[in-house]
Amino acid sequence: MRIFPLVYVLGYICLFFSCQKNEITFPKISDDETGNTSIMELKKQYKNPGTFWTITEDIRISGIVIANDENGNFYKKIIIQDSSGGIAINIDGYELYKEYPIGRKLNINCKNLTLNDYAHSINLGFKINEDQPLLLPIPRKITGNYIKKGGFDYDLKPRLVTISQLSTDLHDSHQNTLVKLEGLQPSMRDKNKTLADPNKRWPSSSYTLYDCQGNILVLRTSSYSNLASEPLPTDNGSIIGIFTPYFQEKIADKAKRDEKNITLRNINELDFSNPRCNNNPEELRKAKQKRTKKY
Amino acid sequence: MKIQILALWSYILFSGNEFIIFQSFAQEQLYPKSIYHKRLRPDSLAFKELNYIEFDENETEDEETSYTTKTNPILRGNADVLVKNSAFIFNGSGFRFRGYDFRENQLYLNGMPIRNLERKYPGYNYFLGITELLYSKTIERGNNSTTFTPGGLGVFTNFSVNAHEFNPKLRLRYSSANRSYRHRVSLNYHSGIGKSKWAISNILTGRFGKGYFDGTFLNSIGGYLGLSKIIDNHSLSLNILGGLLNNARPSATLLETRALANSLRYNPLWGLDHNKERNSRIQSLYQLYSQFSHTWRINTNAELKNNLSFTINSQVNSSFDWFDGTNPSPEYYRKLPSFYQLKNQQSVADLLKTFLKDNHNALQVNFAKIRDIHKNVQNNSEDNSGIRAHYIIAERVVNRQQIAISSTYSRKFSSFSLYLGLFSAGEKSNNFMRVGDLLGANYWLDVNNFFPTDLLHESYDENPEQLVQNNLLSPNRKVKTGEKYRYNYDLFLLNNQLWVQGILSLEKIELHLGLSMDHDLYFRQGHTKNGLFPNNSLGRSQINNFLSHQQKIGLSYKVNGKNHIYINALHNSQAPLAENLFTAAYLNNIITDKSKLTHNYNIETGYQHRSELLALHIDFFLTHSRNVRHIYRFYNDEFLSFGQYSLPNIHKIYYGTELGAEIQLPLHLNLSLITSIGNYRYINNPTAIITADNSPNISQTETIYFKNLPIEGSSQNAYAVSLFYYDPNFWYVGIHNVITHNQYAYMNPVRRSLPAIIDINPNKDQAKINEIFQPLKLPLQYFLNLTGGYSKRLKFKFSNKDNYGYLSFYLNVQNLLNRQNIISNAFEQLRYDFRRQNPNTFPARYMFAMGINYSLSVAFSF
Repeated sequence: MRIFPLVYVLGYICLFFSCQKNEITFPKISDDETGNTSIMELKKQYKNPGTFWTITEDIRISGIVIANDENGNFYKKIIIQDSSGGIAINIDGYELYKEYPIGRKLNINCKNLTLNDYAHSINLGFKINEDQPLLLPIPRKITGNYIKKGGFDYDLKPRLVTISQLSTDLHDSHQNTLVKLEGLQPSMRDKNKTLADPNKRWPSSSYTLYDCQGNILVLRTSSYSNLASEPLPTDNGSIIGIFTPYFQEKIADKAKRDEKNITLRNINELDFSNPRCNNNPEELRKAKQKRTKKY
Repeated sequence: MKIQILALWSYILFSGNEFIIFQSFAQEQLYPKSIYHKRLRPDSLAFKELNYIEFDENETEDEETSYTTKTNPILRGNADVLVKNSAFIFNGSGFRFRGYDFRENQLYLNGMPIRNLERKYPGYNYFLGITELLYSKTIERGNNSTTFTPGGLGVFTNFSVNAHEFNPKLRLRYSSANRSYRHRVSLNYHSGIGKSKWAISNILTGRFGKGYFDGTFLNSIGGYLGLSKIIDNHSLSLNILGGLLNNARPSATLLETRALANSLRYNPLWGLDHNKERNSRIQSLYQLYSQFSHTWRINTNAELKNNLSFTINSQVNSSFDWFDGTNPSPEYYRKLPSFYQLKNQQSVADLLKTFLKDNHNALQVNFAKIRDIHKNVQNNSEDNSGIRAHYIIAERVVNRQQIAISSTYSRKFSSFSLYLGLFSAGEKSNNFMRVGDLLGANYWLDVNNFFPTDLLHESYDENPEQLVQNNLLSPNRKVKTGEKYRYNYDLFLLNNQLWVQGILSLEKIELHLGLSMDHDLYFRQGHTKNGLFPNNSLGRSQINNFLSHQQKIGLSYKVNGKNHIYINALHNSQAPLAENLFTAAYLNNIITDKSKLTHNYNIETGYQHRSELLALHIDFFLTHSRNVRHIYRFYNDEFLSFGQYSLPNIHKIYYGTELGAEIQLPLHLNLSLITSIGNYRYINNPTAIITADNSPNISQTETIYFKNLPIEGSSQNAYAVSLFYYDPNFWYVGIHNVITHNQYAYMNPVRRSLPAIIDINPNKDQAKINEIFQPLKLPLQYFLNLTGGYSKRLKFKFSNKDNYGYLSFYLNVQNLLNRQNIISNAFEQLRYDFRRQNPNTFPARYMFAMGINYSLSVAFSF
């Protein structure tokens, strides 16, 4: 019967020296949800440029964030992309990159949101005024009603394209997607310039980039962005950025009307370290244009 | 006899208010033949006198102060357990018996529970500081065999208060202290039971003065009147307890403001108003309790006790209310340097820091500024009705009336004891808000001052004018001082209980079995029609009935004369408390899901040894609680409104071991050791039902990731070592070393949900997620306390018999080392910065223990 005290005393000693662990369980963001519509399918339902289409059906899209306001080159907007295409979502607020970092998956419940285009670049936002409609960014406080945040660090590789593969069509598949172009160079006239004006005398700067065949792409950078003071390189190389059309309806000249824009996300995606083209693409382009005019 | 011994083993008592007292072993039971015992504590009147004054103040008036800094409670064992080594005090620490909610412990007065039915806190506030009444008591562990209660998980204490149980005595007592008040005066008169078989008892107690922390005070008067008449084997008693209390308490503070104020007694709740110190939060209490008891000793083996009681209780808590302005608290986050630091405005933060360091008044409530605001409003006002108040002192009033009856019948057969009991209580509690002080303005407009107009909710376009009304029956009412506003409702509560218990005592074995049934009924009756909830705020809610039950069983085996072991098991179900049933009783009749009752399962085993020199008790316990409910009410930044997180399905586990040892040393020394080592944690991820006061439409659910996190508020490990010296000349001195640790700050459930970390990339910043989820562990607390007492018999006596006069002294010093930065408890703010996903925007608040503090009592009696 002497066993009893021993058992209890030993039990006590065991517990006395036992230690506590706090193994926290963390919530996992569920990424199972996918939209019921691809981004391109949604965009194709928006048929006439310059109109406002407020979505009344249950349309849900899903995509990966490819651009945000982190470096200030995009303002009150983020861009998401899926395998079919990309779309800009206008959100009212600053520091959107904290909530919508690049590589984050988002599920968008499009019901009650509105599609509209800016020079053929399609945006998703919030409509006000029935009579004279205006597309506003989605108010920050209610973004939660429309945007469901998913997981992080989805690695979305840029599509390798050439300038001629891009078009300013309303439903161009590369519009608002992450693209990579190689063998581009700026004009020698733009030597010693910065990407934009850090003194903000004008809101943004545009530089024409040429490929060796004389096709052009316009690099647009906001003067309010962190990239504004970066020097514009002079060599030839590759660029990764968001392609957007800048279709100016009122201009009759097709060459000038169909402006193709690229917007940088960060300076590392500009890699111009190769020697320039042997020929002069600018001359080539002028010659091309002359030829076009002749006919 | 056996029952008593078992009862006395319940050596750990903790009061409902965060104190613990380790009640050690009943010496005369432990050492029946001990010469030490006889030498140390002769059964002298001198020592008995000390019993009465050793009760220090227990600041237990307020059930809601579970969070404030406490001084020591003192609930001493029964008269003979006496003295000195039996009580260890965890000064101000948040120790709770086995980590349970305090409400698992209940108080009884003459065998009848004392508590309100709404919140069910143990009814310390019934005593209003009349600590002399706490002296004769029985403490029982609820999962063991019990005699006056069906029991439960916690510890149950019955105070026996009857005029005829007091010896004839006139006593005058004065205490000086530097804790929550300065002075205490107490006058007792007990007639004792004379030839007429009548007895009368009177106690009058007053407590006055400023408290330890800045801006605090306590003024209170408590009175007791007892009348007893003994007729043959019947005793009839009337006990009336009543009094008033006015108490300004300290608040938990931010580390930032405490450091800026450079004061260890910093309290942000007070400020100068017309050059007078004024506390913005004052608690007033008015209470009258009367109990009529009847005890019938049918024969030597049978007894019947009946009680009838009436309680009238009014509790008023004042605090600021405001509209169209910022929180007047000097600790409001936008008023602090840290706010600017978070916004990366270091220079502003530094400037503000310097300013606050030099102007400590800016760290207190600015009444003058409020009065100025009201003056300026007057200048701009075009309305004849005067100034609309932007800030007021509001009073939250609860008026309770309760009627209760109880009966307990006990019968002893040769080896079997039977207990039967019933209890029934009905209560009405009227709750409303009242304007306490308009602070220079002329009226307060009775509309919803937190109504957010900028939210885009579809239903709000109906009639915005109506939606903001607190009461559609009297819209846009201008409220004057003393008038009710915002809400007004009654809660009706009924509790019926029936219980039976049997104890079989054989030579080697004792077996007990207990059963009880509870019926609870709650409904709400609204007197206002809220604009947001026009259909479910006025009138009666549905009637909610709950049936719950408890069964317990225990077996005890005597190994030999010195050793015995036991095992106990208990299961019970519990109805939700009314405060956890109504989501927002101040607004509407909406209740949370009531389909599931809380279930508790407890098993415990223990070993006891007693010999002349050593008494030892070790136990192990395991308790599992399922579907525990809790509602968190706070300002939700997501909805820009006050709102609720209702958690109806929290599962918890508590296990651990307790040890009590007492060793008699030579030279009149007595050494005792008490430890409580536990592991109390959540074992599931409960679901929160989220609602907001500003919208009938918001109702969403969120998983709260509590699994494996520790249960907060109570230190999980506590150790006390005490050494006492008893002198045969009626004095003693003792020191206590008390260590508590593994205590965690009360957690914010919002921080343990997905939305709190949704924007943090776990691949890059897991450390930040850890920081948000990790519970805040408080540093180890160490106290060195000292107690001592002396009682001297005076030469003269007043009446015949042995009624000598006595002069007694009692001293209690806590935190002898004057350690100033002991954190007694902490609370994560329930507000959360979703935008920045930063837990430090609203950092935790801390309660600090007092530095060296004392209480000295002198009593003169004859």
